[in-house]
Amino acid sequence: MPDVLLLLAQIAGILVVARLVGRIIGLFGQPQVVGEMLAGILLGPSLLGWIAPDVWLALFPPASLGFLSALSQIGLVFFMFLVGLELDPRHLRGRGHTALLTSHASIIAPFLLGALLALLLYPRLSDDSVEFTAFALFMGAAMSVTAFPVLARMLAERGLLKTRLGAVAIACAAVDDVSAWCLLAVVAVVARAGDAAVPLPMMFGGVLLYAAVMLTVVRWGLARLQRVVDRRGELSQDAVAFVVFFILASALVTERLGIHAVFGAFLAGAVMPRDEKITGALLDRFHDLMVILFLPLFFAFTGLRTSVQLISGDLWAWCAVVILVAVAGKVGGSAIAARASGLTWREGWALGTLMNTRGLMELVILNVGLDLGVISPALFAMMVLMALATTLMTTPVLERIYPEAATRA
Amino acid sequence: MRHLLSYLALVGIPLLGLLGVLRLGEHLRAPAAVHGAYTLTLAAPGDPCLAGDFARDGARIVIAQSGPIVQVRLGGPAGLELRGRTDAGTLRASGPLPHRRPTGCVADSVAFAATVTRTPEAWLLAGSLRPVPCDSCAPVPIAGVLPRHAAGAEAR
Repeated sequence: MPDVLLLLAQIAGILVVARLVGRIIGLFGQPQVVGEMLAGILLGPSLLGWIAPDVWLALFPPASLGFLSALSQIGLVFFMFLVGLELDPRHLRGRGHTALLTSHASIIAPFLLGALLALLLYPRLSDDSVEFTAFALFMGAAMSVTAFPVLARMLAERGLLKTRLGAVAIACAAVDDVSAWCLLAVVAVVARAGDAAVPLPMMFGGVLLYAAVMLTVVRWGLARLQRVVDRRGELSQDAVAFVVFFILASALVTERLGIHAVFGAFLAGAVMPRDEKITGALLDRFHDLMVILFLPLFFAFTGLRTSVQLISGDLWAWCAVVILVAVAGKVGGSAIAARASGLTWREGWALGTLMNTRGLMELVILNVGLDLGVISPALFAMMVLMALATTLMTTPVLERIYPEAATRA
Repeated sequence: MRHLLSYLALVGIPLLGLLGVLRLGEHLRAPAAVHGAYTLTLAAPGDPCLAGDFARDGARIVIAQSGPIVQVRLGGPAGLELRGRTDAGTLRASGPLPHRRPTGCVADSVAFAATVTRTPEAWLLAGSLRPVPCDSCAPVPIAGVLPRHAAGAEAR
């Protein structure tokens, strides 16, 4: 039985610290999400557990973390549904060769650099229970992800959505998102193949079959939901309950198939009818609860798993290399491709900077990697710092190379 | 044509490079895995410094591993946390004893040495704990087992 008082105290403490740090970091022009990521680390063994171990152990005793973990996982499943729901296929169409080349290059360049880095990190930070292929593919996927929601918010805040740069950035981030989740699904299958009772080709086959059924039969079936909403003019409670059931069932299937539950939730969101009434109503009902309650819990749980003390000695140098490679791959790859497809160098660097925002998406991928056992605790801590650094640097760097005044000119 | 060439240069060539990296990495060797939550099957404290609940039968010894670096945790929140390295299945780690030490304990830290033998059914840990500095203290033998299906799962 959970200690309800302790769980309530944990949740309350997390929410207060997350809002507080979010507000403080907002004073420096950073998005709230950066503050919440930081709050998670502050509440973990890296800071609170280090400066006040007794207080930390009293607030987060190891035996209690299972409940916090369960809440954070449920939140993550619903958040990934929203990510899939907000994925608009119109972002992917009609952008021509600029978006095609830039988005593919902005994935493959950091992916290649991540895999190259894996050659150096595998003997140093992994072990022989993980295949090099799974490790390298994971490093590549983790390096190539972009935080679509943060990027979209930044573009909107700066009035860049209607510009050429904004249009290309949105298209690239959407392609990156879909590609990163597909790649991660492949990594999950490869990583779990050794332990699973079913052979690798059957696991791949199962995942592909499930995706195909979702994208065809289930999508067609969900069109009925559209008709019900059209008839009634609103999304009823029964319909919302059905959507919740659908999300959980899809998450359950992908977890059972050997990949992570988040893939099922993402797929459930991606196949929902693209009707403003449905997506708008679902976002209205889920969004605030997600942003105010569940995401801070997820950040806190990530922080509780992050022990910066594991990075010591020459591992700090490797941590710097991880951050450099992440920035070089994403910024450089996107900028060069953007220039090659007709954007100016300034637009190219701005695009690269925007694409370098990893934020929450990176933390989701890292937690999946740690759950799968593909990355070690020390590498997890390094990658969390990389996610934080790349997200933190976006606003000031963009301000410098693409000032708002220049965008209005 | 220019776009096709750009695409080949910026996407095609890196993709080939990626395939090359994956092939190259197949020959790499990482340190032997020892991580996981072992259940102690032998714990004979016999030493006042090691009389805590971390050295009793049935207690758990959790090894987290990052390459050759290991973090060893014995017992619950008030247990021992040791850091060290592993090389070819041999572990060496050390760390401080808890602040509130039992009477009769003169040591201030603990040294841990063990080997992990990996069999198809389970991973077997055999080693010892020794309070330091303490010339008169004998190493306390410990042994643990990690069923194969759980190997590596919990410590990560």
